[in-house]
Amino acid sequence: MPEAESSHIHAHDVWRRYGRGKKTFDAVRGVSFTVRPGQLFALLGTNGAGKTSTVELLEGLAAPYRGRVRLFGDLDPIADRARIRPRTGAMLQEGGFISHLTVRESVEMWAELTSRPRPVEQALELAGLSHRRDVMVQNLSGGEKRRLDLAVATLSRPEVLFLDEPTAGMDAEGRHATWRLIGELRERGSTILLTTHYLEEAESLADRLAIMHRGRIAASGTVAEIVADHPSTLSFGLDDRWTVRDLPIGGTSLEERGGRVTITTGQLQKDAARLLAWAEEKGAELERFTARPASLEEAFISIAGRDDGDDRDGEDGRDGGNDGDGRGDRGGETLAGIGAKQGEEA
Amino acid sequence: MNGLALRHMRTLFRIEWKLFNRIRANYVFAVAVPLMLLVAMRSVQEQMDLAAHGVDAGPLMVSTSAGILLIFTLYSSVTGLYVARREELVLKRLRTGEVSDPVILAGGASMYVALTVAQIAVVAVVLSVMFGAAPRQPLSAVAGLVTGVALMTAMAAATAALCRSVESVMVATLPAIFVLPLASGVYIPREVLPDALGDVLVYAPLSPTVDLIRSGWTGQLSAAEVPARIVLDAVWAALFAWVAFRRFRWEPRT
Repeated sequence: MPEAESSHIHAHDVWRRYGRGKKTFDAVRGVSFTVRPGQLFALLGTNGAGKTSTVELLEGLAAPYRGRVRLFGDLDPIADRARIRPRTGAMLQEGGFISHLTVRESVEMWAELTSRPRPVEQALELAGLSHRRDVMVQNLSGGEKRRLDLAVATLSRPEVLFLDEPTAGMDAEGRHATWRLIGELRERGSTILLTTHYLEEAESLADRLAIMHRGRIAASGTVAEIVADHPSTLSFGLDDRWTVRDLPIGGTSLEERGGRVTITTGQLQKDAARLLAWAEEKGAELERFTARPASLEEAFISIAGRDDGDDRDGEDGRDGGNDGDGRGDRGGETLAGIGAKQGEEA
Repeated sequence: MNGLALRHMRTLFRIEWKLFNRIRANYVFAVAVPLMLLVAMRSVQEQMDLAAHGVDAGPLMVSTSAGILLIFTLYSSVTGLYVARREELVLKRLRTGEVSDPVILAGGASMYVALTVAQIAVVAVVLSVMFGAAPRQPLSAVAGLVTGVALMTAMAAATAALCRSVESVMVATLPAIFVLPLASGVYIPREVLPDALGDVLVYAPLSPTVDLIRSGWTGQLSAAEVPARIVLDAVWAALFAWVAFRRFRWEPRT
């Protein structure tokens, strides 16, 4: 598997199944992607798309029902856990700290459990938590808890870092501190996989990204590659002498609302040129004329709005804490379950 | 256990010790429980006419105290600890790091193991002095303590595997808290029970621990019986460890 060998993170046709019998549902359905050393890869998706379920498979917290995950070329996240962990850091979607310890005690504890950690004071400072070092974890705000999580996840300056919604609930300052820390790690060559709800975060940080929808990857690539598959927009106002029927563009989606015309097209340059040439020839004024390619947000909304006719699985992913009650057996893998999966893998 | 695992164990022990000391009421728990136990059990067992059944009160008090402390200080506390740490996602978080799964469980329990062993040691010394009973088979008592600690920790992990939340810990531990001391000879020595019942209860969980510890002072178990009791305890511990291995969850059910 040459693609895996040269990668830091590799998932091939990975499935994650919860429950048994009639309650079975697949939160992750045949996800494949590769993250090369030093890349930042973002997983985008709506709540329940399967992002966290996927990340947990990569982290080795659960075994895939089907498919293969490899880290650092050829290491299995579960079977080779002892070899992998000193080289990785992980930030869970929420929690994981003892509420009756202070911030400093929590970081110290993790420093003692980590090979070659950075100094505790430095970790606190980088996460912007120095002034809160003596505060009990239970008294931190949601954003501060995310900062603590980040401080611990990056304690070992990991080669591969998993960040599950790292800036959720953070204020602007916290978000920028997080981005700075991520930037520092990238300069050192860390490979980062992050999930996020914030499109601008993915757009500004990620080398490549994938949009998950109902357990599957609906689109992946660079931002330019993803938006290229979605129509661009021409927008302008027409004066009273003209109607949309006079326009020289046919075969594209055209909408007029409130005196403003919006045209969605797959041939932005061609249609814009034709429209401008028509306006010049007729002396028509196109008020506040704009021509722009699709944004990541539009691509995202377009994908999120798709109904692929298989609702049963997709709504049951684990992102965003939207899991309801009554799904008793889903949470947490058992030790035996992991062992069994290792056997299957072997 | 390699050096890394030992270092992790030491850290997890230190953290639990810090948390234990943070709540002053825990001191009452650590000191008052054994004291109350000594007083209460002394008065209860005085009613049993132990001498008529050929039971020596001193060694019996030692094994009874050890059994109660193993159940209450170790089993009960560690079950609650595992479930609470799971609820806070601490266990899940630890699994993202370098600590192995067995060390995560053993490290958390280690503080309560140390506390229980210390309580049992103090109680055993006090009772030995009170009753003028010197240990005759100290290794048997040590073996009983070690197997008892292993059994109670494995049982705690198995019970935590079946608990959905912190609130359910009390209910889940009830069978062990009520039935186990009765079945294993902790509250009532088997000699006082009908022979047929006593013969069956030899095989109950924790019975071997109670026998081994008592024999530490009485020397009642033969050279063949001591290893047999150790094996029996180990089988029970392995059974509960297997249940834990099959069913233990590292994060709350959702």
